[in-house]
Amino acid sequence: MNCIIFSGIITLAFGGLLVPIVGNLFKLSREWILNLFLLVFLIAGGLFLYGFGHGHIIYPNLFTTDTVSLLMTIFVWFTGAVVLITIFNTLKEINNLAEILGVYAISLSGAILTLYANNFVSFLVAMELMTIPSYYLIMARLNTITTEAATKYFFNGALSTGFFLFGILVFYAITGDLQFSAINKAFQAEDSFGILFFVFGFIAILSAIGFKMSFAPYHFYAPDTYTGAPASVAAYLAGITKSAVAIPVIRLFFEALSFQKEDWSILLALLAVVTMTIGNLLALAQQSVARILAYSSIAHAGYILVGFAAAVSGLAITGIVYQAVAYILMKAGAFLMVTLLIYYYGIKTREQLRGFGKINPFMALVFTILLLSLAGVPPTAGFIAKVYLFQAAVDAGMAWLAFIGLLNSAFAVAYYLWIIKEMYLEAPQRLEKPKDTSFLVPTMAIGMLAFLTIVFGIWVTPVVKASLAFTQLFPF
Amino acid sequence: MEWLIYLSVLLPIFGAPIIWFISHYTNKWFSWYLSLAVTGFSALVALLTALQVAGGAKFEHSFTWFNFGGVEVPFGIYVDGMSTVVYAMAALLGFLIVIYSRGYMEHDESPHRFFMKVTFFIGSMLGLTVSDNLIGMFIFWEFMGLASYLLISYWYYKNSAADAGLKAFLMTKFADGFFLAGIVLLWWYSGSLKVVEINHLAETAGIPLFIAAVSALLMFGGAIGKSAQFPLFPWLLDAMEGPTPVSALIHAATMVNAGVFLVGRLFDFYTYSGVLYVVLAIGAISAFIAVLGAMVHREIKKIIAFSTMENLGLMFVGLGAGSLAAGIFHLVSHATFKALMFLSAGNVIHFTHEKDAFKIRGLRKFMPYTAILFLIALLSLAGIPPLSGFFSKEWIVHEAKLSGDPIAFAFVLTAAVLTIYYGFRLWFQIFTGEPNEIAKRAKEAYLVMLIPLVVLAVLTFLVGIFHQSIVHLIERHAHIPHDWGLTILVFSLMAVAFGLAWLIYYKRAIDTEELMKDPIVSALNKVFYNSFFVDFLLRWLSRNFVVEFLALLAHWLDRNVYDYIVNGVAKTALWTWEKVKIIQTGNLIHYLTIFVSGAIVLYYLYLVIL
Repeated sequence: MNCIIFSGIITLAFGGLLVPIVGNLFKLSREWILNLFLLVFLIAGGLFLYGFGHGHIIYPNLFTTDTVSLLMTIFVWFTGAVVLITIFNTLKEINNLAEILGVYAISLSGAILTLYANNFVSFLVAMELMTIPSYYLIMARLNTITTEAATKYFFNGALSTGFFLFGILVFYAITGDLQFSAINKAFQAEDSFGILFFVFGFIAILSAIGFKMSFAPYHFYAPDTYTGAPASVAAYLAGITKSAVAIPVIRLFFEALSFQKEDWSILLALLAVVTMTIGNLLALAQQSVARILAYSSIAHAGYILVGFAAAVSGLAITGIVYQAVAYILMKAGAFLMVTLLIYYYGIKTREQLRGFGKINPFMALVFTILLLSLAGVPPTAGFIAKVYLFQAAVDAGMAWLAFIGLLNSAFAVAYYLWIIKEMYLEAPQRLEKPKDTSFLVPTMAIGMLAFLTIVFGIWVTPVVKASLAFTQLFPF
Repeated sequence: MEWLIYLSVLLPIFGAPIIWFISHYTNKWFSWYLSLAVTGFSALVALLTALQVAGGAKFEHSFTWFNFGGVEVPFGIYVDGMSTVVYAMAALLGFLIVIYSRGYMEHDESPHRFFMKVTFFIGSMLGLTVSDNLIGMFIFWEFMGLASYLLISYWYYKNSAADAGLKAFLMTKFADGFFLAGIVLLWWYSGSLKVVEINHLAETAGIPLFIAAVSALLMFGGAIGKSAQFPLFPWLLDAMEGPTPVSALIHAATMVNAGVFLVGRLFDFYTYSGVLYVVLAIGAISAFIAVLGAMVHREIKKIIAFSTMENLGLMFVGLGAGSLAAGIFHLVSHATFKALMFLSAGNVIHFTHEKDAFKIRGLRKFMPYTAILFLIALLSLAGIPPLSGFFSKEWIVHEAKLSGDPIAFAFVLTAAVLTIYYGFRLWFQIFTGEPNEIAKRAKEAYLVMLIPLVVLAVLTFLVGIFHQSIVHLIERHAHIPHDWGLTILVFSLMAVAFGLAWLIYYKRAIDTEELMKDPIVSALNKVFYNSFFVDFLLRWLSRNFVVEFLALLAHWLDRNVYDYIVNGVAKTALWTWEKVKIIQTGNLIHYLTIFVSGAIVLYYLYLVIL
C-alpha cells in the first residue's frame, strides 16, 4: 500500500480520536469542532490526492494500491465530507456531537482502508474498523427505535463476522495462505481438495459479504436498520460502506476464487435475480421515503451482483466499479436529502412530499436528480453503470439475466418517479417554513453529489479507464 | 488553438444557463453584455481559425468519449477549409444578431431568457460545424432542434407561437429519426463514425454500395427536415412567429444551414453512394415551389422565409449537381445577405408594428438607411454584380445546366429569375409611393440596430469581391465558371421580371385586383399561396393516419395492455408485501434464523450447481 495514502487514513482515524479530546479539554463550541473535523478531512484529502503520484509501497502482502482503489478513495472521502456536514447540521440536539463525529471519522477511515485490502486478515480488520464504530453511530440519538436498529445491526454483524472467520479458516486449511493471489495459485496447484469443505468455506464468506452488501437472503436487517438509524447515518451505511466493500470483494472473487468462476457465477446470478426482484417489489409497496430508499438499496445490491455473476466477461469489473461509484454518490445523496426533509420539514412519507417542488425548489431539484440517477435515467452515472452491468451480462452469455435486470429497472422507475410526481405535479397541502435557514449549506453540499452524478453520466472516461487498468490485474 | 476551438463551442453552450442565472438575480439586461462577450469571443476564435486555415493549417483533435466491449465512441474536432467557412460565418453572424437584438427586444420583459436561448443556439451550431464525427454532429443537431423550438415559441403565451414551435419541433424530430437510422446503419457496416474516415472509405469503396445509398438517403431525410425542403418545409413558414432576430438566426446563421452542411461534410460519401440526383431533385422542386410562394404572399417575413427555402433548394442543387464548392459558397453568400434582409425587415416591423407588406407604403422617407440596406440585400439576393449573390447563384444555375436534367434546369432557372420579381415587389410596395398612416408613425432605427446591418452590407460586398479566395478555401481546385451565354439569358429574363415588378408595384400600371378576377389567375394564386397544398396534405395525413389511427391504437394498447401489466405489477408488489411481511417480522431472532438457514440452503444449492 502507498504510504502517503496510508498516512491519510491514519490522519482520519487519529483526528477522530483527538478532536473530541481537544474539544472537551478546551470546551470548544460546536462550530469549532466542525471546523477542526473539516481541517482533518482537508489534510487527509490533500494526502490522498498527493498519494496519486507519490509514495512508496508498504505492507504489500496486506494491502495493494491500484487505480480503482485510488479513485474510490476520492469518492468515499468526498461523500464522507458531505455526510459529515449533514450530520453536523441535523443532529443538533445531542450533547456529544464531538464524539459522534469522531467515531464517524474512525469508521470512514476503516471504509477507505477496506478499499485496499487484498488479504483476508486485512480485509477483516479494515471491515471491522468500519463496522464496529457504526453501531455507536446508529445510536447517536438514544431512544428505543435507534437501539433496536443498532441491536439488529450488531447481532447480524456479529454473526456475519463469525461466518467470515470460519470461511477464512476453511480457506487457510486448504491453501495454507491468506493472501488473495497466493490463494489463487494454491488452488490452481492443488489437484484435489475436499470440494464439500471448500463450498462450506465459500458459503460462509458469501454470507458475511451478503450481510455487508445486503443481498438476499441476508438483507432482512437492512430496512429496519436504515430506517431506524438517523437518516444521515443511514446514508453512510447504505451509501458508502456498501460500495467500499464491493472493491475488495472484486479482488476476492476475481482473483482468489477465479478458478471456480463458472460455478459460483450461476449461484450469484440466481441471488442477483432474487435480490433485485425482492428489493424492487417491496420498495413499490412502501409509503415512507426512507423505507423506499432502503429497499431500493437492496435492489441495487442485486444490480451489483449482476456484475459478479457476469464474471467471465471483461466488462464485468468496469460495470461493478461504475455501479460502486454511482451508488456512493446517488444513494448517500438521496439518504442525506431524506435527512434534511425530516429535520427541516418533518416530511417522512411520500404523501407529505406533495407539492414540495413549490415549497423548496432547490432541494426538490437536487432530490429529483439523485432519484433519476437511482432510476438509471440518462445522462446520469446510474444509467452508465447499468449499461455496463447489463452489457457484461450479455457478453457473459447471460442475456436472460440482463433481461430480468432491465425489467427490474423498469419497475424501479415507477417508485422513483412516484416521489418526483408528488413533488412537482401535486398542489402543496400546506406551505411550511423550515425550522431555520441553515439548510442551504448541506443542500449545496448534496447538490455537489447530484452534480457529480450528471458529470459522471457524461464524462465516463476516468472511471472506465481506471477500471480497465484494474481489469488487467486479474486472470481472465 | 484546438482548445480555443473547443472553448468557442463549450462556452456558449454551458455559459447560456449561467447567463440566465446571473442576469436573473442582477439586472436582466446584463444578459446582453454577457451574451455579447461569449459570442464575441467565439466569433473572434472562429475568425482566427479561418485565417489560419486559409494559411494552410488544419485543426484536428480527437479523443475517445467512452467505449464498452469493442465499441468506441469518438469525440473531437476536425476543421478543414469547408467547415471553417461555415464555422466562421455562423459565429460572426450570431455575434452581429446578438448586437442587433438589443434594439429589437427593447420592450421585452425577460431578455435574459432570450439571450440564454440565443447563446445556446449559436454554440450548438458552432459545435456542429467543427465536430469530427456523426455522434457529435447528431448531438449538436438535436441541441439546435431544442433551441429552435424554445425560440420559435419564445412568446409562448401566444397560441400561434406555441403551435409554430411545436410544429417545427415535431417536423424536424420526425426527420431526425431518419438521420439517426442512417447513422446507425452506416456505423454498423463501416465501423466508423468519423467524417474523415467515412469519406475515405467511400473513396476506396470500402462500404457496400447499397448500404451507402440507403444510409445516405436516410441522412438526407434528416437534412430535408432541418433545411426545410420539400415536403417537410411548412414549419419554416410558421416559424416566423418567433422574434425577427431569431428568424435571422435560424435562416442565416444556424439551423437551416445544418442540412446543407451535413451533405457537404460527407460529400465524398454522397458522391460515392450515387444518391446525389435525389439531392438535386429535392432541391430543384423546393426552389420552384418556394419562389412561386414568395410571389404571392403578403407578409414580409413569410416572403423572406420562402426566399430562404428557395435558396436552400439552390444550395442542394449545387451539391446535387456534383459541386461541393458551389453549394457551400452559396450557403455563405446567402447567409450574409439573408441576415441583412431579415434584420432590415426587423427594423421595418419593429418601427411600424406591421407585418403585412401591403399595409405599408412610402416608408423610404422615414427610414432611409433601412431602405438602402434592404435594397443592398435585395440586389444580392437577385444576383446583381458585384454583390455576392451574383457569383454564387450564376454558378448554381450553371451547374444545374451541366447536370443534364432539363426539368431541374428549368426549375432552377425559374427560381433564379423570379427572385428579382418578388424581391422588388416587396421593396417597391414598402418603401416607394405616397406614405400612408402606418409609414408616417415610423422613425429611423437606433444605431445599435443599424451598425450590425452596415457590417453585414459590407460583408455582402466583401464576399462578392473575394469570392475566388473563399471558393478556394472550400475546395482547393474549384473555380467559378463563366458562361456568358447563360449569364446573358438569365439577365435578359431578369430584366423582364424586374420590368413587370416595376410596372405593377411602382408605376401601378397593372391592377392586381383586376387580374385576380380572372378564375385561372386566382386559382393559380391559391395554389402558389398554399405551396401546392403540401401543408394541407401533411396535416391531413397526420390527422387521419397518426391521430385517428396510430394514436387511437396506442391509446387502446395503453388502456388495455400496458395498464393491465402495470396494475398487475402493483398488485403483485402489494401481494408480495403482504406475504413477505410475515417474514419481515422485525424480530431479531427470526432474522438470525433466516441468516443461518439461508446459508444452509445456499450450500446445498451450490452443490447442486457443481
